[in-house]
Amino acid sequence: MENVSHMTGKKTEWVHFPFLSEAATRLMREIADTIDEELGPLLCNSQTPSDVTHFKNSKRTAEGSVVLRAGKDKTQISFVLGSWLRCKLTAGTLDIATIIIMVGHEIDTPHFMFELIQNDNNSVILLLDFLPRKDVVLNPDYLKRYYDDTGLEKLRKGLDKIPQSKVYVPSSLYVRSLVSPTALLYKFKNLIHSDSNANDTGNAEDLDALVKEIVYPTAKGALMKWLDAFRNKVNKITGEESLQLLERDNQIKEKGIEIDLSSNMPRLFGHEITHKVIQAYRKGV
Amino acid sequence: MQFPVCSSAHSSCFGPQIFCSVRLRGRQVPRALGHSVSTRTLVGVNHSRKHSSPFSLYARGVRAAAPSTSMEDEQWLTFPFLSASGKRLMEECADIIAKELGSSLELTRTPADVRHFKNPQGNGEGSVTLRSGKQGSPIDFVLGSWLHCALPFGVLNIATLVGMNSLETDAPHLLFEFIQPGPNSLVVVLDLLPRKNLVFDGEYLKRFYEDTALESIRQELQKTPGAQRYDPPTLYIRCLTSPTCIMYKVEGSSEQGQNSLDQIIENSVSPAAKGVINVWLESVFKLGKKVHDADAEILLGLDTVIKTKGVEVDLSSNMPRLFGQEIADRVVQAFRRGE
Repeated sequence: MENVSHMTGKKTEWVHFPFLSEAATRLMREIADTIDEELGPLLCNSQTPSDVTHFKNSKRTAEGSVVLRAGKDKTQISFVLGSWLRCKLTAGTLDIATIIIMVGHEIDTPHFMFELIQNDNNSVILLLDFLPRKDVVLNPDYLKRYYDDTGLEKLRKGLDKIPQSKVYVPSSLYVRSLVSPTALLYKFKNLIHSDSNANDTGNAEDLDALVKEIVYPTAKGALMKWLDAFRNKVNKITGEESLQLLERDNQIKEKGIEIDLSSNMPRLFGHEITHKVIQAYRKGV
Repeated sequence: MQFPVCSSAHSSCFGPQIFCSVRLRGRQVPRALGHSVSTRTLVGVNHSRKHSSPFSLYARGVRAAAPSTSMEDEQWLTFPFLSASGKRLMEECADIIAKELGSSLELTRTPADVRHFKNPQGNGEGSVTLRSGKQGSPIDFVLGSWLHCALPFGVLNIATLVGMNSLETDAPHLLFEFIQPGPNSLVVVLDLLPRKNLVFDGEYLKRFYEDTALESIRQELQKTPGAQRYDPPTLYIRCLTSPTCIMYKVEGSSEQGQNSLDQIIENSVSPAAKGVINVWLESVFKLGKKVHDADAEILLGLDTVIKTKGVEVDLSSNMPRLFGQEIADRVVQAFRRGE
């Protein structure tokens, strides 16, 4: 996917989500566009090879895309990533859409993580968080600045109140240790209707309405809070502290994200494609 | 300085005079104020015992050396205001801890007016009992406490058991809080608090969390009908807990009230609590490694933060309001002595 220069005033999407439901597509579109508008000047165009921006497996049971845009100054924004994965499993079809903003090691803003998982229109899982760059136990000021004061907790509580929502607990203990204390991790399912005519289409519509009316404003709200923090609350980090940030970020990238990619992808796409994707991810372009 | 963790926003940890009059306790040995028990733990022989099973002592009925000690070991805590099932659960857990730790623990030296206190208004009572670990043992101290308050919305009962480890082991600390904000609901907090940064230390995560029963205990408890995740009001508390932390609130059915809650306590909470305590004992005696000098400072730093931040949040928000400044100060002093 290539980005057209901003100067011509003509923009194409830097990442495209072809398979999600209507409301979910609009949501991912909006997040990607907002990032492009607000962070565009800080980002290069994507240079991700085309066999990483789109790949399929030979059995046609799985398809995916990973698009990266490097930061112009990697000490501020390292890269942004947009990706989607679709797999047809025996249990149904799974669609995973992800947008991540990886921050550079000379500022301490948390990373922005947003993932939406749709399972055959039966459920929607949301993972939305500002991933901490510091140990919040030892740095309560960090906790206050980026979590207490940003009002992320209020957004989270809003989702908690929805009858269709249930707390989602990631199966990986490591991922649980990475996320913040206000991480928005929820699974949305339609409540069981007594009406036996409630069919799949009905369920799909209900869920889509939920995505449109609840998840969309929440995710957009979180992104705006992140952008505000990125612009206004940032502490510049140098020296030893910067090295610590870098070390922690490397852990997050390797153990958090890379392991996730390399555990699922070989099974779906084979080692060759997996290797190319991971190479692109490591380069961050 | 030592402060135990009392990590629910409601919770404060408080002591009992009721059973002081009922049964004779260990002598109150006067200690110098500010005596820091933590320094003892860096010196001396490692007294920790290796068990093949944490319940081995319990099963064989082995007791610590002196007969008088063994009688004192039993029932070092009672919980007078909980329902029958809650009382049984907390006392059984306290017994397990005392029996398994046996000769690693001193008798309590907590002053009587910390082991039981009441507020002047007459609507609140509480108890805090501490037992410090012996020199060279992997235990820094254990704490048991309860709080009972008649408030406008109902009667609040909080019971707490904490096991803080020394630098003889890197094993996580034990936290167990059992809170009944009224006759129809229950909050359970059960966790092994990590003493290392899990983002960096994959080995620690694996040894104590991925490879133990903690996650399956959590998943089992989560299946309890009506169990919902409990969110402590302060973000900071959530940071101290582990990825397998159990924090659930359960509503009993309002028609059956305490009865349905009692069933949940007996069928779900009790096996979970004993399971986690089991893993903690296993961690202390089998899985834990002695802390190397290089890591000692960092670990001690983290332990201190857990204690001071844990207590600071709790005590300064609740105790003065419920019991007045004088009682609050007295309790804090006992914590600082760790006994």
